[in-house]
Amino acid sequence: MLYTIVPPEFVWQDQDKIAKPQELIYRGQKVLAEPLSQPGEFKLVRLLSSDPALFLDSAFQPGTIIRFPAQEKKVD
Amino acid sequence: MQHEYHNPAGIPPVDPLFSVNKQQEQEQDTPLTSLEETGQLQVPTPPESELHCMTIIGQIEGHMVLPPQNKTTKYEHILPQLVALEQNPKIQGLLLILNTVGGDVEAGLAIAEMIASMTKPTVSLVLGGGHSIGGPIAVATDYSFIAETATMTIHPIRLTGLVIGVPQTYEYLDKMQERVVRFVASHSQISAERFRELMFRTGELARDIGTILTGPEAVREGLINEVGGIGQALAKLRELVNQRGQ
Repeated sequence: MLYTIVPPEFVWQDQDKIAKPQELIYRGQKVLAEPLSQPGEFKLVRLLSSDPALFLDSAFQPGTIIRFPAQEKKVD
Repeated sequence: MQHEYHNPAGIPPVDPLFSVNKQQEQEQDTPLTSLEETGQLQVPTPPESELHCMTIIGQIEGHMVLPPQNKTTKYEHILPQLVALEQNPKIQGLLLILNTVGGDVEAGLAIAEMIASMTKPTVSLVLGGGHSIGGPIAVATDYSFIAETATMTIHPIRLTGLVIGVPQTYEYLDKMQERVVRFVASHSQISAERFRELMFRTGELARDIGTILTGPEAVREGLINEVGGIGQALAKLRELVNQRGQ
């Protein structure tokens, strides 16, 4: 239940734009992240961990952009 | 030697820190790349400041994910952070900075209760606005400040736009509201009666009933301890930390 000065019609506009996050492993931790338009790029939504110290780690702040290496790999 | 990277889902199952990208390595010869090569774990760096600053901004997001145009504070991240702050021996105190338009009642109360029950010194500073559920969070700290120009809106909780059909709904809203009123009254100098009076005052807000308190008014009503800015807030927090250390 929202208790806010912002009218609900403003809060809930663009409700269809809420992205569906997916689970992935980032820096050894399970996180929820939503895919961005660039392949291999995600925006961290939520850290799934029971270690409170990790929540102070700047790498796991919600909104952090996660970049996975490109699909195609190089030749030695 | 040829390496093939194949992943149908498009997500490499490995930690990106450990995955070797030769091209990238040649491009940037940074300490991080050497870490990648030697396979060293990146240890989370210990907090540098003994005082931590937490910002409560935009909408406080609760049980429902809000659409992306809302700037939100996520309580599922704030709560374990508060646990870490309480538990970490290096952290001495918490400065809470608020500029919020309100948000989810239960998420807001959860944050407020966590802060109120912390044993470490906490100081809040309301900048811009500390509206609706921002009120209980602002008063949850040991000492609270509000900027001269900041405002706090106190208004009733209600389900705008929905038809309330059964009397039980009124009771439910009333109970929710009482939780807010009781929390504010028990964590600040304002009485529950006075807070309720401000909440239901007519003629102040154009579209609603309630009251807008400016910084000095919030102090006069006993809701907030003092008008001030970051300098005063940090000085107060240091003072509380020193008191606790003695």
